[in-house]
Amino acid sequence: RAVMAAENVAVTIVCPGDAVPGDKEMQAGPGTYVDEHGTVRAFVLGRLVVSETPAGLVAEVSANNTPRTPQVGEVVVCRVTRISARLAHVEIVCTRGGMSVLRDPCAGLVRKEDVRPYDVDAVEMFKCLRPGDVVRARVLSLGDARSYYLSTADKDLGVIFAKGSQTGATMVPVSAGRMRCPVSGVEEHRKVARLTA
Amino acid sequence: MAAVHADVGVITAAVGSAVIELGGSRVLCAIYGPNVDSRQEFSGRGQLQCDVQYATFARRRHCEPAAIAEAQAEVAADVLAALTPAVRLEDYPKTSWAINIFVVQEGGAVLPAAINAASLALAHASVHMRGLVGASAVISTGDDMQVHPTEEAAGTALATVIVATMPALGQTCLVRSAGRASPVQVLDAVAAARKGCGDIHAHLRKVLLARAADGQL
Repeated sequence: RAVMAAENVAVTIVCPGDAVPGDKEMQAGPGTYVDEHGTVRAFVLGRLVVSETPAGLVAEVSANNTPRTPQVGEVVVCRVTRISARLAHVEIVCTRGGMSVLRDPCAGLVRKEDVRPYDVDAVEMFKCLRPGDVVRARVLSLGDARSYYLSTADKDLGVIFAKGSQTGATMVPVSAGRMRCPVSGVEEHRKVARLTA
Repeated sequence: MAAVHADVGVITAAVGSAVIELGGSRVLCAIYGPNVDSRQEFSGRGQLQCDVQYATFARRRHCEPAAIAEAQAEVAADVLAALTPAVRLEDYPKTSWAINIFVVQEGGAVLPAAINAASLALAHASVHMRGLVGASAVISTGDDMQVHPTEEAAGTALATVIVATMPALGQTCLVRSAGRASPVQVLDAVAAARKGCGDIHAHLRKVLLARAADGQL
């Protein structure tokens, strides 16, 4: 049966420091590194996969999804804590696009010029992000010791959840710049994320 | 080789954990991280923090709290010295990993057991490491040497040598020696300890591979 055949394939599990067997032409993929003598070695405990690519043989070791701090270029989910005219301070709650929850949230900030890609001088922070909003953002850089620098300047980034300021009900997105409270009918300005399902 | 017992995943709340029993010493290690601490200065390299606690019943005789505190600080500093070369801290900017060690029982030599436990727990936590660290102690009683000494053997020792290596890379991370011995005896003890490290490393590898094969990474 197909399932049995897959289980008969030998799986090599390697420990940190184990040399990847094979000739010297191996390249170091994710989970592996090259030591001083040119040997490719694993740096995590995991399953070793050697694949053939146009560039040659590539070794890769995959570990399970361990918790990780936000990486540059990654999409994170965060909650706005306070805003000023120039900055929105957030706490990053999830990484890996929302798939991985952090044990302890870390601090991030979105600068005025990174809120949206057009007309950055005329950005009014109160009309884009407000305290309590849950926001999808991308990590621009590690920032400084205190905060990561984030950006919402993309169609699929921005507010994904907000409560109406008058009623506290969950608001529904109306357009890229507005959300509406279903109880009172009042529309509020937000930088809304357009998520394709 | 003297009996070594090792296991991983013993503390479910921690990201990685291990327990080691070696030469009568029983040591638990739990790893927590990655932590982003805004109070630290920004660093392009990650940091390791180590905290060692002795159980109140760890030593056979009652000791002054000051002596226990001193021993804890010394073991923590040596564990950091042994493991810092092994962990790829350049992969963890702005991040720190916490190594929490709990000594349940102090046998012949606590430091090698603590280093082995930390190495195993870090691998279990999938922290990026250049290689697994194996550590062992050798005592010299003038005529004789003993690897992985028990508590009573350690009582008769003239000199103790503790070595930590990464056997996969053939590199040494830590050498500590105390007591009096001739230069030849010290070199012999270091050589014996290095071999002991290789044996320990093989055992640690076996434990990790068995756990991974079970699917319990």
